[in-house]
This record gives sequence, C-alpha cells and structure tokens, in this order.
Amino acid sequence: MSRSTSDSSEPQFYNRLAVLRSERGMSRKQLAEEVGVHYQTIGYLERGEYSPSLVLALRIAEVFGLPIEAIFSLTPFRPLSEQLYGSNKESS
Amino acid sequence: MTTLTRADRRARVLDDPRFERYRNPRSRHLLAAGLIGVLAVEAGLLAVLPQLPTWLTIVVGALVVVGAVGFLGTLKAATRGVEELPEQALDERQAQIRGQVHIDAYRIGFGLFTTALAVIALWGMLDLPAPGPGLVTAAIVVPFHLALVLPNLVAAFRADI
Repeated sequence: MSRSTSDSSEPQFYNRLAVLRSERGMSRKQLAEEVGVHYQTIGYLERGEYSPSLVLALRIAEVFGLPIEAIFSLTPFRPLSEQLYGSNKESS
Repeated sequence: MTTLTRADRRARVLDDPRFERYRNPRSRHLLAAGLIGVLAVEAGLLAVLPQLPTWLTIVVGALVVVGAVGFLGTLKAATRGVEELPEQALDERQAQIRGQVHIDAYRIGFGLFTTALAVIALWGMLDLPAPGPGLVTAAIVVPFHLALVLPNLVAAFRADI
C-alpha cells in the first residue's frame, strides 16, 4: 500500500503531473474526475506528498496517453527544456 | 445516467464547498476543542444531575445537544467525512488516511480505557466512598460518547486530511 512520502523510510517520489495538466489545459478537478479520485488527492500527488497505487498511476498514464515512466519516477526528472535542447545539441 | 447511492449522497454533503472555510488545521483544532468542551460540560452536568433543578438540567442539556450536533457536524464536513464514509465513497489516499485515523483512535481509546480501569481499581484499593448516581452515569455515558467522536477528533489533528 502506498504511503505518504513524509515517512522517511519511503523513497522520494517524483512526477510531472502539474506540467502535463498545464500542457493540456486540464484542472485538478477535471483530472480527478477522469481518474476517480478527489481533487485534493491530485494536489497531494503533484506535491509528491502521496505515492499512487499502481492502478491509479496506470489510470493517470492512460488519461495522458503516455507510458507510466514518463509521468512518475523514483529519481528526479530532468527539466523538459534541458531534455529538449540537450537532445537538439546532440543531434546537430 | 448513474444513480447516486446513499454513501455517495452523504459524501457530497460532507464535501459541500460551503464548509471550505473550516477545512484548515486551525479551524479543525478549534472545532475539536469545542467538541471536547461539550463533552466536559456533559460530564459535569451528569455528575451533578441529582442536585440540579429540573429547568437548569433541561437548559444545559439542550445546549449540550445543540453544541454536540453543531461541532460534530461541522467537524465531519471539515474533514470531508473521511473517518465515517464507506470505502467506495473514498479514493485510495482518503481510505489510507481513514485507516490511520482509526488505528490512532483505537490506540488512544485503549489508553483511556486502561486509565479508567486503573482509576476504578485504585478507587477500590483506597477504599474511597462509593460514587453517587450522577458520577456513575457520567462514567458510563461520557466514555460512550467519547468513543463515538474519537475518530473525528483524531482526524481533526491530521494535516493531510
């Protein structure tokens, strides 16, 4: 069962929920309704204060149409700008 | 069109946006303090019940009932009913919080119950005079009411509710 990341025994959890939501112009309430949770829970997920169950993570991935590892990670995500420009530099 | 179950309707009432101003730690602590105050008044009222005039008993009793309903109802809405709604009305985070609230309430209740038994044992060992009917009534009724509201009081002190 997932637990709040405030427990030091739990691994730190990272996600791109806020970025993806904003990209799609989706409110917390809309995303919450799509995945069947309370809007407050989306806030807790975005702040990394709650780790979702596998089922919830899969539902969120389905809503965004992305693989789960593009949304959640146990290691910090590189900033999108760095990824984008970094890959451009590599290809040029 | 989906039909709402009784639990869904209750969940909606408890998630009413009109109670949003109470959904912060300070308000929840104040509501919990108010509820504890009502229980304390109830205990006092029951303890001195035989000595009180009837009209005063009715007035204070009515205030206790109104206070308990007001504080408890608002506290339930302030915590979105997370401690009482059935599993299907909660999402997984809320269900997890509810589980933790009930565990904490059980531990606190067990501690209070053990303390009460210790007091009774000590009372007998010290051969103190038998308590009056008011005190006996208070000792039965107040723990019962406390057990009912303990999960609400515990929920009030959680920051992530």
